Amino acid sequence: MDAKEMKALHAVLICLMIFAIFSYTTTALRPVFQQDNNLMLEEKNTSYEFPIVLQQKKPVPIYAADPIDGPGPH
Amino acid sequence: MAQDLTDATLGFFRKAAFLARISMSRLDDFKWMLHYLKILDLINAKIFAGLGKFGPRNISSLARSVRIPATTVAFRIKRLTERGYLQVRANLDHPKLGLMKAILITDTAGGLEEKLREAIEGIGYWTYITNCYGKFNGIYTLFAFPAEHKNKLEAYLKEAAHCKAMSSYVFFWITNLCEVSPNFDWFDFKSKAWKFRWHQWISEVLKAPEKLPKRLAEPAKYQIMIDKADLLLLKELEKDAFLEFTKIANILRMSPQGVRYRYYKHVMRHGLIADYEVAILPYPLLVSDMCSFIINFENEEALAKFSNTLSNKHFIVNYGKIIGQNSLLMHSYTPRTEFPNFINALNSLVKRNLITDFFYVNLDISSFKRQTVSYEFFRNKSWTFNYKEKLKRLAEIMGN
Repeated sequence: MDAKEMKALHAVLICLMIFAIFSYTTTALRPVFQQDNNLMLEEKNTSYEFPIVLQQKKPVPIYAADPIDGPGPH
Repeated sequence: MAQDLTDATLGFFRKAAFLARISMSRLDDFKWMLHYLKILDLINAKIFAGLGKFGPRNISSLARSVRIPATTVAFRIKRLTERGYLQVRANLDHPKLGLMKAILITDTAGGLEEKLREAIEGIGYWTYITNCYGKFNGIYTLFAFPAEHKNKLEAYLKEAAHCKAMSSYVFFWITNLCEVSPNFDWFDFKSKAWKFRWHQWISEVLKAPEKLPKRLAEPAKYQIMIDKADLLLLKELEKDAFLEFTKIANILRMSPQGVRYRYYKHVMRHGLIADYEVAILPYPLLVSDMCSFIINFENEEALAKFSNTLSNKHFIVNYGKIIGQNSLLMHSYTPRTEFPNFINALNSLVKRNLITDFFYVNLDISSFKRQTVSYEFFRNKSWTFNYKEKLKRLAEIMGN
C-alpha cells in the first residue's frame, strides 16, 4: 500500500469515526440528555410550582375525593 | 382514559368482593378465613410484618430483615396481592399537609340517621364514616380537616346540634393515628391460632416506660409542605401503595420521571407518609367486633405506659392522642368471644388507677365509607372551606 492509499484509508477511517461519534451522541445519549433536562426544569422549581413539562398537560378534572375500600377506620 | 376506567372497575370489584364477604353465609366467611390461615406461614407472616415497617418500595431491605432472597419476597407479595390477601395503603402525615385529624361520634334521634349522615358527609374532609352503636347510636366520623379552618368545623357542629340533626355528640382533635403493623408474636403457627394473653398485657403496661412515644407528640405546627401534584400522588398511594410509577403517571397525566422525582424528592424527603396500613383482617369478619375506644388516663405517664405497649398488639388497628388531654383514641378489632376479656383487662387498669374511665362504640363495617385526602378543596396552595355554603346546605337537609 503506497502513501496515497494510506492517506485515503486514514481519511475514510476518520470520517467513519466522526460519523460513529455523531450518531452515538444523537441517539444513544438522547434519553440521558432529555432526563437531565427534565430534572433541571424540575430542580428550578424550589417553590414547588408545576414543572414546565407538566404545565403543558391538561389537569385531570376533579370533583370529589377517591373512595378507599379497606374497612379499617383511618 | 382506559387506565382510569380499569382502575375504577378494579376498585368497584374490590369493594363488591368485600361487601359480598360481609353478606355471605358464616360458612363461606370461615372458608375464606381457612384459606387465609393456610397461606399464613412463617415467611408470609414475616413479609406482612416487614411491609408495615419498611413499606412496599423497599423490598431489598425487607428481604434482608427477614433473611429471604428479594426475588422470593417479590414473588410472594405479587401472589398474595393477586389473590386478594394483601393490600398496602399509605397513611399520610396530615400535619405536614396542614390538616388536623379529628373524631366525631354522634347520637341521633330515631329516623334522622340518613339526614345526619348527609349533613356530615356534606362537610367534606372526612376520611372515614360509618354507623355506630353502643354508648352513641349514630354516625362515627374521622376527619382530616384544615388546621386554618378548625374553628369553622366546631361552629358547624354546634349549628348541626342546634338544628337537632344530632341529639348529642363528642368531638376531639387528635394527633395523626399510629398504625399497628401486623404482628405475629401471639400467633401459634402450628395450631394456626391467635393467643390473647391479657394478663401478660396488663403486666406489660405496668412495667412500660413513662415517656410518651414520639409519634403521639402533639404537632407544634400544621404547615402545608405540598403542592397539588404532590397531593395527587399521595392520594393514589393512599389507595394502593404498591401502584407503579408508570401507572400513577398515566392516572395523573404526568411523566413517569416527574412522578419518581416527586416521590423521592418531595414525599420521601419531607416524610409526608407517616406509615403504611398492611390491610389484613386476622379473624373472621362475621364473628369479630371493630370498636372505637376513648380512654381517659390519670396523667401523662399513665397514658405513656399504656401507649408504649400497643405497637405489637394484633387486636389494635391504630391509636392517636386526643390533643390537650391525657386521653387516647384507640381502634380495636377482636373476636367476639375475646371482647369481654378485653374489657376486663381495661377495667383492671382502672382498678390500678392508670385509667380514669373509658367508653366505646361498635363500628358497623357494612355501612362504612372511606376516602382519600380531600384534594378537591386544595386550591392555590391552601385549603378552602366555604362555611356559609355548608350552613345553607345543612338548613336544606334539615328542611329548615
